[in-house]
Amino acid sequence: MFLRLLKLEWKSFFRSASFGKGISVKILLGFMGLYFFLVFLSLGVGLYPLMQKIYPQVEPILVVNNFLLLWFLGEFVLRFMLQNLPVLDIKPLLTKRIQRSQIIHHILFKTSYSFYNILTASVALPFVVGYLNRDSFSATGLIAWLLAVISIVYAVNYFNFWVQKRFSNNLKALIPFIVICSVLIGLEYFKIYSVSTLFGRFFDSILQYPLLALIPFGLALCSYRVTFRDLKTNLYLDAYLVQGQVVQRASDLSWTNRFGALAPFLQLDLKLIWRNKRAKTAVTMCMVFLAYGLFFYGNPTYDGSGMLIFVGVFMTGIFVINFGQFIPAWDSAYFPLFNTRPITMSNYLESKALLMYGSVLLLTLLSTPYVYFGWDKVYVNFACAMYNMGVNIPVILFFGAYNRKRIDLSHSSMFNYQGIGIAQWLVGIPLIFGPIIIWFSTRALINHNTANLVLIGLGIVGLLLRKIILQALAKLYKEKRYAMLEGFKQKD
Amino acid sequence: MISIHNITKHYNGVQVLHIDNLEIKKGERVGLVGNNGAGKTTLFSLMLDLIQADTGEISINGVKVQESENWKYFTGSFLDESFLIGYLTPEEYFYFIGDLYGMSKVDVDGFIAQFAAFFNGEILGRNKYIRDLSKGNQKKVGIVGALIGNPELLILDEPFANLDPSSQFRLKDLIRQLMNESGMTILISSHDLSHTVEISDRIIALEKGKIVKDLTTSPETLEELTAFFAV
Repeated sequence: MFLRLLKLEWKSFFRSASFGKGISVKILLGFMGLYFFLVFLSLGVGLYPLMQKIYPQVEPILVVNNFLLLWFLGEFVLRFMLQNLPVLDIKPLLTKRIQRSQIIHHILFKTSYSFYNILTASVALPFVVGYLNRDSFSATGLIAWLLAVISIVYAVNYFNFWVQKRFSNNLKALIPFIVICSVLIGLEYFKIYSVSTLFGRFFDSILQYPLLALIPFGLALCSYRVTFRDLKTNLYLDAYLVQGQVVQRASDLSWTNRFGALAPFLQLDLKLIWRNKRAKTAVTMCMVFLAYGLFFYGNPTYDGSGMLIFVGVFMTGIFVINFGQFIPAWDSAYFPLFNTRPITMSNYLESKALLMYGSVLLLTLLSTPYVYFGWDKVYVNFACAMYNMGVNIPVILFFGAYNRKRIDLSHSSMFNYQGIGIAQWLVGIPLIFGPIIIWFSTRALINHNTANLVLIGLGIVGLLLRKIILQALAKLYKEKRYAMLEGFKQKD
Repeated sequence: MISIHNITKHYNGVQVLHIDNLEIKKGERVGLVGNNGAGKTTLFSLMLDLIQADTGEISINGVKVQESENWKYFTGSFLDESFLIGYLTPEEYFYFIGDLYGMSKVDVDGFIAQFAAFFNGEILGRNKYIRDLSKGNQKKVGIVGALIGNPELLILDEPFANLDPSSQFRLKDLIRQLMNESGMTILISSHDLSHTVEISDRIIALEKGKIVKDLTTSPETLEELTAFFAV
């Protein structure tokens, strides 16, 4: 039976609709995984000399022990955000002639060889192997230590699912844990009492008394048991298998009415962003990218280089890039509705453009504190913002006409390559490199200030010609409508 | 109202629809019946300009659907869930569509109030997104959405599927009432022969993309259709 379930897994991988199409993306992800694996492996190899260098007086493994708790905590947080238990996949199996517990063992077992579990092991294993050649500790002690570390990794693995399932609908119940964690961190910070040292001491003693490793091992078994039992009692359509129903929040968007015929579309877009995971993530990313300037402005090597344009276009236009590249795919699920109702394409496009203008304005305003690094930075950002509004927005809408990939709004966009086609890869080139080339060549030929003014000028021209451009785009969208409708019908 | 000339549509070299000539007059209630793959949805999609025909043309009120978007102002349609916006509540969805026809919220509220019985208290004021409604309730939202803007032509694909028995009766009453009050032209496809016969005054049967029967409804129609489809 177990083998049969595994076979099912195999087929679902190779027969998934996106398998052939997304193979390049999979290879890319594979390389990323390999990259991380190698980074962690080299960390494992280099950990001994590194620790020796930073803390020359102390035995490296004892230093490492003191950081273990922090490491596991970080791992837990990372897993909590990224790793999910695919319980919904097993829904079709529940009514078949398979024991419930067997199905649960199967999905839990599946997570055992997840990439996250390998990462810590890939640090710990070379570290321990390196130690075996030194005579500081007994081989049994070191192997017990490794076993203990890997056990904790697995405990974190299963514990994460338990926490996720338990608390995903009831975040308030997490408050006590957060309070305890904050108190412990506080105690640690003010050097009153250090839990991480206590945790470290325990691992120190494993090296002395290898049998102690049975405690973390037991913990791993325990976490498996707890998660197993929890899943078993809750694997029902109205418990863990319920597909999140959110109660709607009343939202008053009447302020958009001033935009007349565009208002219904604007309201729809705002709701789209607010109520769908995928779109929401795209917007949250904008806030993260606002910090992008910090990496560059402090560094004098970038002063006055094309890099400033790169940062400027990115910071003020991240929403244009993130959101704009999926126009009109955001509306793919109900595109036929738009095509059978009296909706003028130019209104549709204009409302999208308006939303993006707004985002550029807002992001530009939010980036003004960079004045700390000098007025020239703000000036360059302003030039980039103008260029984004006048030129990049029409460009991205133009590429949208060649967008044929459906987007499933309910999936988050983290590592989600759905809806990305060749047009999405190509669109980045003119958006970012266009202004850099223009700015750079003008600066080389004339001067810095003129280069900024050229970007601003291009933006103003684009804004003035807005109506004409949007009309032309609307015509293009109308011509391409059958291909869009056909493409948006294809579900992965 | 609708005239179809020499329409053909192929998918991967297989002909899925071929209609030489079909005229539907204003105010007719037309029921389209046929097995799976007979071409019902394809025909509707062609009428609504959602797919392109290989040959031929379809005009609504004398205007070719491919060339002008005029028909959108007087045609209401609901084919499947891709006509719904999942992340809106039913009310918001109705307001959105109303907006497109220049109806205010109050207008829309007034309009949908008459469907209270059809909704059976499960649609309005429940604070649920359309994507979280059951299939049957989604269908009700779609059908009422298609009626907003008082269309002259109403196209519904499988409106009875997924509806509970009471709602099926209510929908039939609703369609009759719309006919009598507004003289709306109605096109409905269905697998259910008796429902279709009950509400249509003309029945068109499709098989493998071709019109095999075109009947004016009479007391014998149901028998004739049953005999035709029986295996």
